[in-house]
Amino acid sequence: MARQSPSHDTKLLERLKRLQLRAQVAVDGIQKGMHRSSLRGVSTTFAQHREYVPGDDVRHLDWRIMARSDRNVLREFEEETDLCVYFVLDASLSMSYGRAVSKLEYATYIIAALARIATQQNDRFALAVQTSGGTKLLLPPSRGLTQWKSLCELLARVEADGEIDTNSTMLNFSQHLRQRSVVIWISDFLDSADGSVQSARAFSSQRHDLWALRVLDGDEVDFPFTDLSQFEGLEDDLMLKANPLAIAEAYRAEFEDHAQNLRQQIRSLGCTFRRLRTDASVEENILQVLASRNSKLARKGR
Amino acid sequence: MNFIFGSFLWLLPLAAVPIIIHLLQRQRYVQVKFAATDFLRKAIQRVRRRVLLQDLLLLLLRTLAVVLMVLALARPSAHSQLLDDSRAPQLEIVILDASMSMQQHGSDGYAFGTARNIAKNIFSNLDDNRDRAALIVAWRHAKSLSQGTPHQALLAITANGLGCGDADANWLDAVQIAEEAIGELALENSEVRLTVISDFQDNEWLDGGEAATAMQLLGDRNVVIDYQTVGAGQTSNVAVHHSTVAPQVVVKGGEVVFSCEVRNYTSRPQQRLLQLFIGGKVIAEKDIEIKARGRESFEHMFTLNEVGSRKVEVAIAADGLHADDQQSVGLEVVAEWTTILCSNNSDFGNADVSSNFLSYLNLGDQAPLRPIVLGPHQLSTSALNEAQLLILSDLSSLPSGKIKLIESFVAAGGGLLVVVGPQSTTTALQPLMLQLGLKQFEIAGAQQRDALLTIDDTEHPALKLFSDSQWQALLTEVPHRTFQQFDVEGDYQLILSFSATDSDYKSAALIQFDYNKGKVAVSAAAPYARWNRMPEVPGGTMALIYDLLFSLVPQPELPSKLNVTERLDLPRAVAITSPARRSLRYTSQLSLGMLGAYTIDGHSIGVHSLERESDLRSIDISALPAYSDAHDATVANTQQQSNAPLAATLLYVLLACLVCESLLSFAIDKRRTA
Repeated sequence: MARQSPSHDTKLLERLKRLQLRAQVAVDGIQKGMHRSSLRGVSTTFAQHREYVPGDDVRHLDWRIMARSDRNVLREFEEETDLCVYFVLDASLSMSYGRAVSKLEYATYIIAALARIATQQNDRFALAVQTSGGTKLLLPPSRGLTQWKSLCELLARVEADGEIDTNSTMLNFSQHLRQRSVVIWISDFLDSADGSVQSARAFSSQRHDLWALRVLDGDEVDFPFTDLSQFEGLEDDLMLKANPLAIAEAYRAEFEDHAQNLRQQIRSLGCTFRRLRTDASVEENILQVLASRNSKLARKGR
Repeated sequence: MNFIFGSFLWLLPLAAVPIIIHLLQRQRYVQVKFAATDFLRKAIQRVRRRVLLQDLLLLLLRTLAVVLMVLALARPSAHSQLLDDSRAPQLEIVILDASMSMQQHGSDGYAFGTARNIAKNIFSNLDDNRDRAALIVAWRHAKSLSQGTPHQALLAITANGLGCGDADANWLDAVQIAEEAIGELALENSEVRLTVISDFQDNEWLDGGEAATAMQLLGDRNVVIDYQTVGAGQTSNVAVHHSTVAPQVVVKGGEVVFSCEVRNYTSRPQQRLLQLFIGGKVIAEKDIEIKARGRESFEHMFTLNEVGSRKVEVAIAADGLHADDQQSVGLEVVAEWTTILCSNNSDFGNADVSSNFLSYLNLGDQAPLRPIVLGPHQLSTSALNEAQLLILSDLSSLPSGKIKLIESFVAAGGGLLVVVGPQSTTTALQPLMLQLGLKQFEIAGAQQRDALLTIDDTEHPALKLFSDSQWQALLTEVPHRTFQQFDVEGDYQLILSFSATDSDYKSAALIQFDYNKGKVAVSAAAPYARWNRMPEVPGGTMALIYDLLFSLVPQPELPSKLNVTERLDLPRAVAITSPARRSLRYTSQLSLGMLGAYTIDGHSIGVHSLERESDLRSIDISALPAYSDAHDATVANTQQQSNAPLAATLLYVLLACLVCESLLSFAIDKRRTA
């Protein structure tokens, strides 16, 4: 996973710099968006309602209650000091796929950006990486800018590695989380939907707040190939010869069936599920994640 | 089934091309690393059968299209003679039209080549052990090239030397040979089939035409007649005909008129650039527009100053039938005519007829006539051998010994002009005239009166100038002095007469007749200074004298042109060079069978095509059965009944195949790129 050669160090530094810069740029963009919207942040938790007094932030007014009761009611949030955000990164070989940027690299941008937001909100966060050896906690929970920098350094070192049994590794990992946490699982979820759902169920049953973020390359969604091709699996030795034009429709149907199944089942567990395309900007994707997260909280009445 | 162009079947392996392309394409896979192979595998499993079916169907359609195209090119024929053991022995006789019109190149290709392929196909379907075959080629002289086994006929039809002629086809000969072949080769239980392969030109095959008549000969025979049409209606043609030069022999610097006719055999107006060549150089050209099925004449006058034999060639742009797009004629240019002026009064002291004549003839070194003055006693064989013209000028006496000399001179082709002047006597001229074939010739005596000349033969070359109305008055409206007239009987041509304005007086003034190869003219309108009472305008008289003498000059032994079928009687053994530069030697008679310019003993002769061969209109051969039925002949019109429908069916299936392939490809592409 980590390499120590001087040339690698140079590359690593470049990656780290790019990662931090990209994350910061993304967060800046997100904060502008948050000012315009009612998005709150990663660990914002509803506490109680109270009467509005002048000087309160009007963004915290609960418009629904005001409409019903004709009173100016404010929503108060309390900071959950024990809440921890666990970033779980899928580092299987399939995540190395990508034309402009690999899914793995894109995932690291997402994690770095979200961690930066968590840092600004004084949330604790940790990093676990799924490899062929299982899901390993590389960075224990902590808060602060130093923690974020450590996370960035670790992320820069992560490289795709072999085939992963997502189901078993995530089940094992869920057993190690004793405190209720936010678990942000970033993967391409190309394994069987049932395995992923089973893992999600394990987190959900332990009252963890699971965010399943699915990172996909545009090729995997649109299947734009035209030339006769021999497709070589990244995680196995599978070689498939095909005329892409002839199978494109069937591929897209298979892909969407799987995606729909996965989305429905994970959402039915009360978890957040989003598809992140690597050809979209990081901030745009994070804004959408936060928006969907916020609307979910709103639905729950919190 | 057999095939007219069987050689196209060698293209059948091309049917493998779509398969090879398909397989080659399968080798050109691009390597792609991909993460979502699981979905890919399921997708492939889901569509595998459908894609395979589509690919196979496309491949089948493409292969089928190639096969059908090759089969259509090979022209399948239902003229099937499958080797069936139970069938009767077969005698197959093929008459191949090798007339000039079969040289046409149409959309079907070279007509004669197509005909050969059809014949080859017929012979190759026969059983060599049981069947018999004969190949007859209808050239100008029909010829049997093979009578015996089908294999022999096959060898004959594929022989390299077998080609199409430049003349017409002798169908009577061909059918007669076919009859003989039937007599020799047919067994008692043989089924006899006669296949005529031709373009079936109207001229030959309409009722009453030579070919149609020839087929009557087979009327009584139990023969299945099969007409195979090649080239019919495929080619449009414009041709050059009737090329001539006049005169055929000309003194250097003399005027020559070339004329020809361009004929349009198509049903649309045509335009052609016509070019006239001498010695390979263009001397005239003209864009000619010819109406549909019309004809246009072309004339060009020119002069040549170099002595020798020339080939004058006319050509139009080549079309479907090349053979009739050019013609050539021979032209002889000579230095001068040696003319003996024979007179009793050789010193010409007085202004008499002879001195007048000499003043007209003696125009210097460059003149077309070179006069030599001799008295009657000086006439000799050697002197006459050197001369082309002899003028007996106002003779009062002629030694009897010279009559034979003069007669021999004329018989050999020399020109003789007898001038009846004031001194001429019956005793001097009558024996000679009678010797030359006139029944009676007598000088009537001096009458010294004025008369007008009238033209009796406006077409005579001696009156070339006076056929123009602006000059005619010089001859017919000026009173002429009549010195002596002659009474004449016999076979002659009256050119000019004296007639009086106040009476019925009429007397011969100028006559002409032929004697063997030579020409003789007798004139009482002597070129005397007082003759036409207008000595100040002697030009008219001079033109008459010159044109008269030019019409009497010896004609060449050989013609300037002849038709391809014409026989030529040779004056002696000659050396010939054909248009293909082959040297031959003939002694008595020959027939020149190749179009173009021959050289015979240094003289050019153009051999021309037959006009009727240029008209490529064909009869509808479906009309032939009715004709043949009337003569108990059975006609199998395979062109109409088998070949065309088969080929057309194949083309329709090919078309349907291509349409299906296109639709299927379109549908698949649309579905795959949607």
